[in-house]
Amino acid sequence: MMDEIVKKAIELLNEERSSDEQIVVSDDTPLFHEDSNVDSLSLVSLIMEIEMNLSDSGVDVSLTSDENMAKMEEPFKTIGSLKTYIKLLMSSHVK
Amino acid sequence: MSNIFEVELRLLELNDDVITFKWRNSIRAKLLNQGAKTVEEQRKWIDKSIKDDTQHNFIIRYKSIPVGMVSLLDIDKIKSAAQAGRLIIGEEEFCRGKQVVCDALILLYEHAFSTLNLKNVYGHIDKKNILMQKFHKFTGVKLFNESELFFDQNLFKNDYINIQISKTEYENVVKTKLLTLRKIGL
Repeated sequence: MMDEIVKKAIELLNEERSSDEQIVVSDDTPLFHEDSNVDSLSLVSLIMEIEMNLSDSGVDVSLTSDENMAKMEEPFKTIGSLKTYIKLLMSSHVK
Repeated sequence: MSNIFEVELRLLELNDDVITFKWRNSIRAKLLNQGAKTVEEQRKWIDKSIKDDTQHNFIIRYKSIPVGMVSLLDIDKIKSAAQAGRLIIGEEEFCRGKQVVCDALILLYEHAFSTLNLKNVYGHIDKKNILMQKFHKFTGVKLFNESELFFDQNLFKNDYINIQISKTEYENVVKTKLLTLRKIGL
């Protein structure tokens, strides 16, 4: 489920981006990193979309709360680290 | 105008003509209103805007390096309102991870609500600029595409997504959200 949520959010974001700025859906793809072409507005859009999709699936988590951000270093560095971060939050959400 | 962060806003100067012209004509600024077509036109626009008390145009600087611009327009002390606009991060790659967007917005809002003591800041976003709309929504700024609930009907623009933020909303919601986002580096 989580992979699909991230993929869907990135595909939606890609609709707003030019053809040469498309984000490849791969765990190694840099997100908020010096090698990335993802800017601030795009990252916020991605976070918002993922939070909404998670909420639709019954998981209400904030990806940017202080408490959650303290659980992992650089969660938005790559698509892979973002997935790891979401998994971590989902595991602590389901008690 | 500076803060504890490494970002500062300083008023636009004539010598900013070349760099602001470059930013205004970048692909990233394509959703802003049409700007000057030459550097000379840009310089004339800056000269005019410097003399206009109803607008404060700022260069965003990171560690003294110009990286973008942002403005407070149509400053109206009787209505106690002003329009936020012209946000451009011209040096996007350099700014990545340096909290420039959030800090610049915090400084702009502080200028409006604390320095000028205004009650409302509003703005108009191109309907195609989905990412900017989402950014403001995420930070708790209210978005309107109908005028009924907008704080001033005369300031509403039908062809745009209208945004509105009161001093109280800024202090209670938006500032906190922006400070949270800046921890990510936005």
